[in-house]
Amino acid sequence: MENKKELFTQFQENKDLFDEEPKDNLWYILEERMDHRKKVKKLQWYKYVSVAAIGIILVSVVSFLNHYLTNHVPDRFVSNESFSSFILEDLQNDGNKFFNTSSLYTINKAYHKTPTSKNLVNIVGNYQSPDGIINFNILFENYQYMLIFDLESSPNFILESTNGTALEFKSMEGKSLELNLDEKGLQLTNSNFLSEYKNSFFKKISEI
Amino acid sequence: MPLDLNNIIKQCKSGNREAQKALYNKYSPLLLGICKRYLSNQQDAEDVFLEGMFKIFDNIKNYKGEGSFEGWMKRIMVNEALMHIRKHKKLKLMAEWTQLDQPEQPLILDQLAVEELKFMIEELPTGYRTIFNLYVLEGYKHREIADLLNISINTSKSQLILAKKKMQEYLKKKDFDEKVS
Repeated sequence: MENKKELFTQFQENKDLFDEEPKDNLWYILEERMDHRKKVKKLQWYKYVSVAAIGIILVSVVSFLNHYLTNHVPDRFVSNESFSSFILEDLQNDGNKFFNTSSLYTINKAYHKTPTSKNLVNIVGNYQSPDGIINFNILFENYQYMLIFDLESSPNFILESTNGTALEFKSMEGKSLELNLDEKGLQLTNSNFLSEYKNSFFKKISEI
Repeated sequence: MPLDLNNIIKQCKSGNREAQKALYNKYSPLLLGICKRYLSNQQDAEDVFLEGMFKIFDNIKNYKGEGSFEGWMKRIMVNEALMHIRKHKKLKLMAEWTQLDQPEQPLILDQLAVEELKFMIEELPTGYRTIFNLYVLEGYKHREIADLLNISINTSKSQLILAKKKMQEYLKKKDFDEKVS
């Protein structure tokens, strides 16, 4: 009785009845197929990478040419840590994309000398003495503030220094004007050639 | 140094040929055996075995380590065999049994020889053999077999009962032959 078993149980207990070692050549066939698959995969990978690379190159070339031909402004590309870009933008190029660097020093110096106080922005204009005899203009030219009298014989003055609202203009000949920026206008506080107008207010009569 | 199964799987994932060979050597008898259970023709069984092995190596990187690795490989091989049967054998499974509600009678017999068991499976028609393999040897439920082969549950049950009947007929004939001789 011990040897008797249900039919299906007998099969379940002998699941391995069909197990057998495969022929040797089956492994080689399988190996060949796997090698072929590997090659195909590699080729596919190269194909995708090549297509992607060509795409990137094309897009880069087209966008570079598009940018270069339509929007190329050399000034905008020139900037480094030593010189702020706006100074370089002021440098002119000679049309061959070469910058005229001879004026770089002057421009740089002018930017650094130029008072940065917002009040000074308003000083540009045409001024007149209280008696209406003396007229002068203050201009911003060649990166510096200049004071120019209406009289042809008078020298031109350059803003040499500032201290708060106090401005000191000097000419090449050694003449000086010390002015104080006030709500009423520019008050002459000191001068070695206009002493009669000392403490007078020069009113701004027009903007330039 | 012999590699353990986890190491073999890990190296197979990176395409190491030596590891693939080790895995092949370890499991090929079992997996070829599965193919032979479903397909009586040796050439068909070998073709399915090769296709299944190729899929195992190609998809091994998708094996996440959940569940038994052997079970995962066996499923691939069984699916491959079923695909082959569907494609080439034009499997037409229909419910042929009208007494499905009757309880199944257990068939208790003396221990049969392995060769006899093997012969009985080989002699089954493709449909019966497929259901028999899935239910008795793979352990699928009739509902799962129905889903897998896109047939009704009753078709699966009837094919199994008929497979058993066929085996009984063989055993009766064998008894008779033995008595006569």
